[in-house]
Amino acid sequence: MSYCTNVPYDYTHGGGLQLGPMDGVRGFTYTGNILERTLDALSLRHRVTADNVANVNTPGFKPSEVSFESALNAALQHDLESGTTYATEATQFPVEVTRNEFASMRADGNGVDADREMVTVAKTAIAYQAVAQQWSSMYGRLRMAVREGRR
Amino acid sequence: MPLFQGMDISATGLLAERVRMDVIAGNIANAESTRSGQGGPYQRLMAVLTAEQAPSTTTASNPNGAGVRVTAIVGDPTPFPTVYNPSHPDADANGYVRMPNVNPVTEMVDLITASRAYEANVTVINAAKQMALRALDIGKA
Repeated sequence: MSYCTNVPYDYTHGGGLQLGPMDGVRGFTYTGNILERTLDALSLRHRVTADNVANVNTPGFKPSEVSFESALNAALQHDLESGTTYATEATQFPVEVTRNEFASMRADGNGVDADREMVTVAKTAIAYQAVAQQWSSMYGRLRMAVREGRR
Repeated sequence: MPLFQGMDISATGLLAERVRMDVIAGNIANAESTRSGQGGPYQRLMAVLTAEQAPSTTTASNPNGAGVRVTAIVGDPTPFPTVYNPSHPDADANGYVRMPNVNPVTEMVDLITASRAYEANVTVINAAKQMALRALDIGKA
């Protein structure tokens, strides 16, 4: 059984370091990278949602939204199947901000759905906290490994 | 990703809604004022909100939405309603008084809209605060 932890990844060529399919642990760096990118994306989503809420009474304002989950999912799936590290690369983890030009909730052309935005705010905060907690527990495992399992 | 950018955006929302509430307060206070600085009755004021754009160009990961700003406070051009009240000091020759074009019901509805929007921005700030505090916990034992 070969464990491949904390291997320095080579980002110079497209596919990253090639590990065998499901070849043990992919390393804390990989996990950390993905958690970091997810936190960034959630933070961006919060910013965009804050902008939508701030403009809830601006005539003609059209809301934007951030999407990254399906792209991240596809990249993770790809990595899982072929042992690559696509998900840690910016090009393989596109975070997209799209403006919904056709949304219209009121006669003044404002397209912000306040209920939906508030749900997004709550969901984003909870997801952010969940990911941050994952990161903390990842460091906990790393610490345990460093101390050879002792407290 | 700057940590406090979301909070700054929400702060612009708080400021804009508070200016709206101030303007509404002025309108309600002057709902019966038949004299004003411009001569004639008090003219209802409205705050104009404009979506703020950051100077940078929009890219996929860097949207340029930067909140909201009150760009102008303009007078409502609706004609002044007249009320028959010959004993009023501002009544014209026929006994009619021009009243402000303030409708208290409209003002109350606007006030509720502004105050709910203010609350929504506060909720967003609280969420940002929770996120930032949790981010500080990363790496703690």
